[in-house]
Amino acid sequence: MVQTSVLLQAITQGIFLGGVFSLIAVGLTLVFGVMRILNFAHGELVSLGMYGAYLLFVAVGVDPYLGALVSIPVFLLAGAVIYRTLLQPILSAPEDMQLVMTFGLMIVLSNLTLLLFGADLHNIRIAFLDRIWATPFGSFRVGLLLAFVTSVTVLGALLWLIRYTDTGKAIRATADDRRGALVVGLNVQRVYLTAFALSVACAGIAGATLAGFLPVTPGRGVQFVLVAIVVVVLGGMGSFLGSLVGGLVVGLSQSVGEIFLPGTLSAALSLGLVIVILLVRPSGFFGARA
Amino acid sequence: MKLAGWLALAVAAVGLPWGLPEWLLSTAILTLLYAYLSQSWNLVGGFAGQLSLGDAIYFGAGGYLVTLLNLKLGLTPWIGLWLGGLLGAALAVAIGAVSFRFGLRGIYFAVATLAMAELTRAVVLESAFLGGTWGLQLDLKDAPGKFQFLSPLPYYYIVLTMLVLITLMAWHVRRSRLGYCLLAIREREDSAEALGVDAYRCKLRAAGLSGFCTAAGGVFHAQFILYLQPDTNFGLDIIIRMVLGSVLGGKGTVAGPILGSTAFALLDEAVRLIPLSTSQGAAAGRIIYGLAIMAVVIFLPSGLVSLPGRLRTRTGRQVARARAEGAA
Repeated sequence: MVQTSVLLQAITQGIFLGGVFSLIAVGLTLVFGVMRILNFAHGELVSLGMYGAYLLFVAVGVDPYLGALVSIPVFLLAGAVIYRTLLQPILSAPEDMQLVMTFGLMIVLSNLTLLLFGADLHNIRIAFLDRIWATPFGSFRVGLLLAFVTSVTVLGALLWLIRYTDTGKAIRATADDRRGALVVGLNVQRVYLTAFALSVACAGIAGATLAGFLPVTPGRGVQFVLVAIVVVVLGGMGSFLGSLVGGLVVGLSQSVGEIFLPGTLSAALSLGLVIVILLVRPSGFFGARA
Repeated sequence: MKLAGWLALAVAAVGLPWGLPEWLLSTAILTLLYAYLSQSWNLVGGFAGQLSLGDAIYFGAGGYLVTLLNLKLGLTPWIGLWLGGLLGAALAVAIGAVSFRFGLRGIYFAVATLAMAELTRAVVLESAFLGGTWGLQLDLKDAPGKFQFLSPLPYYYIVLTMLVLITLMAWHVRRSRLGYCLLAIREREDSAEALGVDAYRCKLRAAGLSGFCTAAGGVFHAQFILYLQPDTNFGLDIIIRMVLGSVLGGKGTVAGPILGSTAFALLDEAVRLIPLSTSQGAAAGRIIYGLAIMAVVIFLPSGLVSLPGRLRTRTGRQVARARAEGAA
């Protein structure tokens, strides 16, 4: 029998991790929902976020969470540039061409980090991030807790932006019906640009928060994007709320699953769920459209 | 003219090992293997337009089955090859049957097959019987009866033969009833069905063919590398190579996968010559490789096969000829 305290610790840890997963996945689902492109380079953008936080820490000494806020404009700009140069020309290309484009971007970005930072492992050493915080639900590193708080704050801001601003309405309208959005005079290209820039910013912030409790190394991007795809499918591809819930489900299933199963198999659990959901209910938990 | 071109290509392919240093011969063998695998992916991904990202399952299953039979029961891979191929075909048909029955298409089919491949990799990683993380290893020995050679030469001619065979098959399929049905399905599946094409069966037949060939490619890879590992044999790398070769060369065409795989292998080798420290050089090379991929996507959306046509149009020769024909 598993002890209650161990289970409680795993559950809380899963929720904390899930918050960060949600933030990664929201970026991916935003682009998929609006542009119908599954961005395989998304995980590498998260990786870049980790390296950005590391650079800021080395250069100025800021912690990753403050660093995340500082780097938002940089990631928004990077997203806009990537959209204009690489994605806008292939908006009407077949799906496999779009997929290959994001493969290409993935290869370039992952090797760029390798070239600039080498294969070594970097750690952001700030004393208070490594401190352990004891709660009735278990003991956690402050870094993980701050990552969760940052992710939830950003998710809240993004949710507000999508729900209540004109930009958000335009994004939702385009995701619903691209032609309809064109007919009512929306600048669809600008909506795409905004959505992609926001998506890259989400990835960057998520990466920065991850750097607070994970060592920064190259080659993690593929894992990140695979987790994000799992979350996005569970929640419904293109569904914003679905990603929030999906992130928590994947976070929980990983940390609770690790008590009962060896590491890789607990990840396999969510992959199995992905296959079943795609077959039976491709719209996921929350998606309305198939 | 065209015949002369093919003859020149054949002579070059057969004579290549004499013009290459030994270390490049291994690269040539892998290049031919990737071209072969791309051609196999092209049957489903190109002809039928079903974006599969799970073909590493057939590749890995073929290699693992044959190596296990060889190590545990002493069965020669020459026979195992066919069993591995059949396993690949069975898996491809099973996966296709489930996915197509449930109406998975486009990016949803891609994600589902990718999840299946990742799931398989995770299971193999945890399976002690299949060697887990360590994988399976074959001893280096001179045993032609066991599909093992000390010199790379036999491997070169075997994989060249495999590539020729699969290309002939693709060429034949492209002109067969099945090929036309697949193209119709790719263009518009509902309309094809309305015209009497049994889309489900056609897609399954293509999947079976492709699964058999991919698994056979996995067997060759195992016998050549002598080492099988979940991350290599079931990983994302192999599938990315299959998709890239086909899509960049020109999916749905017979020459495309060969052209794409060869061009990108040549580029891969060329960028290795960048004089930097090895790890940096490798990374810089991969960056150039990735940029080339993106350039092809933007500037040659129909793949490298369309390049000569595009050039001809640009020089205006075609326009002039069309005008002359119009006048006559």
